[in-house]
Amino acid sequence: MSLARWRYRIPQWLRRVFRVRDIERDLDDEIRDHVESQTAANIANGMPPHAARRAALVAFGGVERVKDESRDVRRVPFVEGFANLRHAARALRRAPAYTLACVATIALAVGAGSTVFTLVDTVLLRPLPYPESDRLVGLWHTFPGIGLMLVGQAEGTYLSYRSATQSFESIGAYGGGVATVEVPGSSRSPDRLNVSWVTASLFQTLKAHPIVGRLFNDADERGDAHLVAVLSEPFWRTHFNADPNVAGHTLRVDGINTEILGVLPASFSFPRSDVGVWVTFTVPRIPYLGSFYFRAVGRLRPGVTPEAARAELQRILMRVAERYPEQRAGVSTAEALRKAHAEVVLRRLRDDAIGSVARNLWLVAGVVALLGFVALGNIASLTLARVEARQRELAVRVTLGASRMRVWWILASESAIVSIAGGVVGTLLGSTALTLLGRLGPTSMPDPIAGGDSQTIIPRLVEVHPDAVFVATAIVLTAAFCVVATSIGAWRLASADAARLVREGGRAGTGSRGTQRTRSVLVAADVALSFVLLAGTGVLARSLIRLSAIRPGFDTENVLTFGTSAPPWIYVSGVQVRQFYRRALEAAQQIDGVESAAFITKLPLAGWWGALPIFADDAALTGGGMPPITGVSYVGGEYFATMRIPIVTGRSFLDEGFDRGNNEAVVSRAFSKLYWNDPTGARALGKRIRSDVNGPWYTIVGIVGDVRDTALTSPPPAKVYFPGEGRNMFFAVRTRGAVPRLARSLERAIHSVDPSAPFSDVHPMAELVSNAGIRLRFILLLLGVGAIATLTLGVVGLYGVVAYVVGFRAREIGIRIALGLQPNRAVTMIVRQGFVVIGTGVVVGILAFVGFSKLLRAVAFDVSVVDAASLALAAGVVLAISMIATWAPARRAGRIDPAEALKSD
Amino acid sequence: MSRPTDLVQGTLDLLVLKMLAIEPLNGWAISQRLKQMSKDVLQVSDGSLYPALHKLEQEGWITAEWKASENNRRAKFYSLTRAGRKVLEREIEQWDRLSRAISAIVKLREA
Repeated sequence: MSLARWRYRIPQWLRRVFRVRDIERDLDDEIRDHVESQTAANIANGMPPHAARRAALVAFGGVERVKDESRDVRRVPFVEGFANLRHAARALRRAPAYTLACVATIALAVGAGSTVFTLVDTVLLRPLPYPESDRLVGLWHTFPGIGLMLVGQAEGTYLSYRSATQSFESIGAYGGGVATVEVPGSSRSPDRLNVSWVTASLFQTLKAHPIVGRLFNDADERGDAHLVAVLSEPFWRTHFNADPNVAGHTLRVDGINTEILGVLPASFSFPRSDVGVWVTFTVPRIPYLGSFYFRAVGRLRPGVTPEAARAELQRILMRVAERYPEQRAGVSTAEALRKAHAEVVLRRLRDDAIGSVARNLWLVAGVVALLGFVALGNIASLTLARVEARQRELAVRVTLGASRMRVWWILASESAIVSIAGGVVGTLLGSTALTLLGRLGPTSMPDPIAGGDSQTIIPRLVEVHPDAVFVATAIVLTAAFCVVATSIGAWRLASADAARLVREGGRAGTGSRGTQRTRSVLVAADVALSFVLLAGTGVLARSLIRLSAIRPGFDTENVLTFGTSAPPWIYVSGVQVRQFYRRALEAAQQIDGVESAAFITKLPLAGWWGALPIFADDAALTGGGMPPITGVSYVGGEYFATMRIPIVTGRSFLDEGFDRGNNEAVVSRAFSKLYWNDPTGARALGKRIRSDVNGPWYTIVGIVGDVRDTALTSPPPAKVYFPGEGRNMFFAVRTRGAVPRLARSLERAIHSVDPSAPFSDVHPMAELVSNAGIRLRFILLLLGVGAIATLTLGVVGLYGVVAYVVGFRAREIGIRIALGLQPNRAVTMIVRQGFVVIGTGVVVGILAFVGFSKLLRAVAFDVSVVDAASLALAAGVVLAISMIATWAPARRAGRIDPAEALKSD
Repeated sequence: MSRPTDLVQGTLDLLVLKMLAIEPLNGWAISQRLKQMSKDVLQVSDGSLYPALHKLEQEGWITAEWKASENNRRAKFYSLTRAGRKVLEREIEQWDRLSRAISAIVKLREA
């Protein structure tokens, strides 16, 4: 189109849009001018005046048709829609059921779709919130020879890699734990919070920048001067009121004065989102390889592949033995590494951060996609039914001269109104859902060593919020619904022949064979998808039942747990710490209603997994190499009685573990089986074990039952209990029945021993166990909601379609009844036709489910996914509900009064 | 149907443009002249002229102006724009070419 034409066209469009009234008046005036001129000419030719006028009008043709054609000519694409919106809004007000069903369906689909897409995008697709994060990799080792699939770094490996690597720009080390943090001179009581210790190079590796002050430098890392710390933004806000001059203030971390250097931005999160304070980590230069107790992350040089970097680190690892010939006294490093089949493992930091959640999220995304398809099908069938119901109205419009284009615009405007209304409601729902999801709690980097991240619902959840991607997705989805609704209407319109419409009008009955087939396909698809979701929910529900049926190996009923710490500025020596815990234990035991109490370094299903190599006084396993690494906990009090962990053979520790002279140990049944292939424990009893080749031997005095220590879904690991305590311990307290205000009493008991001791992490043991299945529960919740929503949509669609069919066929059915058809036969006829469609849907659903089952298998726990009984149950539910949705409107067929039906045209 | 066929529509556009090239006219005057010029060819209602006029106006080939008509009523007078003149020239040229080709063919048969 040439430019010159636009010069005329655009002002005319603008006029068309903003001066509609002027245009209409001009049109009227122009036509009137013509008719009057013609009348005058006719009179001049000798006609009588009113005959002259009539002749002029006849010669002119249909005035309204000419006006309409003229309007069509002037139609402005897209913008023209606004003129029709008012008309469409009026039409929709007259059809509240249709409007409500459409808006609700679209709101549900847009809300769910944009929320889940944002979730998937933020958690799975977007790079981690560190600059050039694709070059970040985690540095790990695997020792398959001694049964250790993944461990982090030891002093020797870390220092060797750092000094020798060419592949990495920088490597940083980190670890974390809980510490008591106190602001001197503040009225706040000391906090127990997550603290991460990091090397100065870690912040360089992640390219972190402070918002206040500075981060660590190499001098800080050497630890020559005093200790230094960097604060998280929330901690800085709550404890220092966001003081911009916070640098230089002092903080007490586990009683040690620490200088604050700076503050990291709120967006920085590593390795957990709820770290309050980062302190320096000095990797000690020791004369042997050391133990693999901390983690490292490195930034690859640009262009270096992880494979090349891995090969380089592997070469360095093989030379490590030259630098550290001896791995602890008497054990050769070379021999230990050889026996362990030691290999370097590099994992992209993103994969570590996401963990195993990807398959869960894709499952949810799949569910929402199905929901979306059902919603699209619903909108299509509702719109189809509406266009059919309006056949007569549309036919009248076309007869009166409305162009097909104009009718299409009316339908398009209606679709636009319901889509936009649904889209807005959906966006509001979705942004609320995302905001709530973002608050679902702190997330830690899934710990690949502990073998599970099932305790975190979804990693990176703190990054989730309604953002541009969310809004864009909502808009795209809304547009998709609008397009589907409009094109279904347009298609129906195009396939309808105006002449036939006029002839048949509302009598067309059930519409053409084509649309009837389309409707049947849509209903069958709805039924099939509802079935898939319901069956999937069934699988997950059975998984959850299996999960809750798992016996963790201890009794969670009436056990409360909490954490505390012996303040290091008061309790300095090991003996003093022991005294603190003995007194704390006694104070707890004296509380009314407390049956027994105990403390331990790590509660089952919570906390960091502590493990050591265990040497046994048994030639079979102690050689030159490293024995298996076994979970080790230090306990005090009546731990086994409190947790009701059964004693299989032997006994528990003497004097609640405070008698340290006899060097006693208790091992689990799995340990006994691993070392002596003896689950009864009879052979293990009396054997001697130790974790340090130079340390004293401990005699096994008892064998106890196995406990699921790391995750509910992992088999119970081998476990060794030594009597003892560290600075930080967790208490477990068993009560006789429910004791009111127990937590308060326990806090008072701890503070009676030392008022500056922290009291934190108060959880019923049952809660720790249920947290272990929180991911599965969350997915089940989403899937269940999805299935119910889909089924509801399917039922709405089905009900609507059957109701319309009955309405259309009222005349036909009326004639049949008049000719002698039993009214209940009419109902049966409609229901039978519905049944064929629904049955097809269920069959297709079963086939689809088998295809879908692979996705499900990834999250299902200990159940078969394709299971005849549960498929039958799901099929039964879908069939029953669908039949009700068919039967309810079909009953109307039986009540059709033949006289009424025949008269009504 | 009262709608002119495509062939006639094209011809109608050409005739209208040609008439307006001579002098600005209102709708009624155009319809009168159309009737005089081609009484037997264009069997269309008077009204169907108007959508055609409005289409030409929309295309920017003709422009309209409100003036008092002979009997002092508000009347819309159409005139040719520069773009319209170019279109007319092109159309006439095409028409000539077509009619020359057709008459050549017709003569060929006669010979």
